[in-house]
Amino acid sequence: MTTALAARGVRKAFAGFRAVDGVDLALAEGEWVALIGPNGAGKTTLLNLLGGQLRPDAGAVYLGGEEITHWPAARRARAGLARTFQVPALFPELTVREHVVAARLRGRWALRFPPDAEGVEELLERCRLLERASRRAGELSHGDRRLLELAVALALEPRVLLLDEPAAGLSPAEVEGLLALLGDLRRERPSLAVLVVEHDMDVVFELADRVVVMHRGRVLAEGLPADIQRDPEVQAVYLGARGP
Amino acid sequence: MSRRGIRALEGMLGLLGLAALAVAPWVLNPFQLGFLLKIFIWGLFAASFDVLFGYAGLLSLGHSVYFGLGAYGAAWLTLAYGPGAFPLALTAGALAGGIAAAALGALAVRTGSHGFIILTAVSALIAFLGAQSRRDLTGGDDGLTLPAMPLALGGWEAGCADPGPAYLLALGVVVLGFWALWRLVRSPLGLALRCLRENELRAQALGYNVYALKWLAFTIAGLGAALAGALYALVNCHVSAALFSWLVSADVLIWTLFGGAGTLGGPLLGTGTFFALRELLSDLWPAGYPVLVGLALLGIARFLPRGIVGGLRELLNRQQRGEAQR
Repeated sequence: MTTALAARGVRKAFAGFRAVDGVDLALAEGEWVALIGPNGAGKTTLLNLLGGQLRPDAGAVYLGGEEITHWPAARRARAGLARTFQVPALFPELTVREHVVAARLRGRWALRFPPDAEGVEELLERCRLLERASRRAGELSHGDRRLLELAVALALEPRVLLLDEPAAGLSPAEVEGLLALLGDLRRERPSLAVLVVEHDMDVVFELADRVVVMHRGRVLAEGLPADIQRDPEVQAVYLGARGP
Repeated sequence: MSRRGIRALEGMLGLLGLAALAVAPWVLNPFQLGFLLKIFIWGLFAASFDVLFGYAGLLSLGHSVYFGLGAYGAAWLTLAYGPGAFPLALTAGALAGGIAAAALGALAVRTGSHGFIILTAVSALIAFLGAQSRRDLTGGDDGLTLPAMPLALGGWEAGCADPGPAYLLALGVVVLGFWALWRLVRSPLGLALRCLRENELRAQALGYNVYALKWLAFTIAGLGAALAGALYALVNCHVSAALFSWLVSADVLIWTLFGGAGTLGGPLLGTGTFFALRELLSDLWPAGYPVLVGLALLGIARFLPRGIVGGLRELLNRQQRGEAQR
């Protein structure tokens, strides 16, 4: 199977603290991988290294076989690597529709907007944001901001999607809606590779084909969700009392 | 009122306003006409600043440099080739400022936000001191005096004290310049600039090359400022080193905040309101009018933090939301 995204021996330290310490990770086309681990394990740092928000001290990152280690985030986005952020990082003064339009342009500028308004409306409807299309992002509820984060990432029409805690702060009903949305996405875009960082184990085990566990900047274990649930080492460092 | 209704109303008011302005030379006296001209030219300067500050979120304290370069570019061309070469002078002045902005912008946009402010402020200081010290080229504080453009309408000739036909030329240039800026901020490029202003990291994650965007905004704003400066020189018949002063850059920031940053029309309105207020208050209390102007500014900052146009839009938005909820 073709590798969609890979990290080889990636390292990143902050003032001597090794946040990511020689991580190898690969996502195949169409594969959904969950990245879990306790707080401070290095999950978000790894996502930032993959997304181009940070540059690694060592190691390499590949997108579809091409090395992108030194590419800026913008170039990675244009090449089909989209991401969402742990804290919704939106444009507060822009409307919901403007967010999706800006994302669909994928960094292109022109003096006229391309005539693909239908795609924008369709995406807004799918993400249950059509009714709030004219609202400014700063006026949205937390749940809607999470949905808008996802809509913006999907508007980039990515081949690899990085989701940083998409269910954080959502109510059980909102989590259910999010899972349904992601389920639809999976059916409609079978080649899309997804790496999701998540603390909600129900979400993880619902979504993931494979689970990678990080601890102190390293990969502690990886495997099928059922195997990870049973792994005593993982239970000890992360799942603890919540384990099966 | 619906959003489309508001736009239609705005468009209609704009056309009516334009028609009224076009007949102004036959209605107003030379002083009033000169006053209107001043507002248009400085308003275009403020609108160009708004592209950089209000849309791209870059606070420059050196925007006067490009106004000054445009003014001196046009002045030198006029003195070299005569007042009949005013179309060339206008173009050369605008290009001089645009090219200088492209050059300095390439350096400035690589700095952080604080570095950007310092670098642009220092550029204004260098330009001002340079213009003062090279009196042979610039005339220093006394400046250079230019002949009036050889324009005539019927038997009415344009002069430096009575602009007449020059007013119509200036109005045409300002309307064209403003229209170009308006098209720009309504385009995908304008949307990209707003993304940049709101969240630079997020804009990068959407595929936007933020340095290229900032550079483009800086260059376009410089070009607009230089066009306004060139027009100022040709209509005012006089330029001086003071045009480069950082105080001019501070003024344009105040006018923009006054009218509403990020609205394009706001800075034009802000400039007009500010000039009118200054004229009115200086008659009422000649010695202390700056205090009154300052108080008016404080009032705007306190009660309309988004400026006049920004505040009105906010009010209309709230009204619309209220109607939608009912």
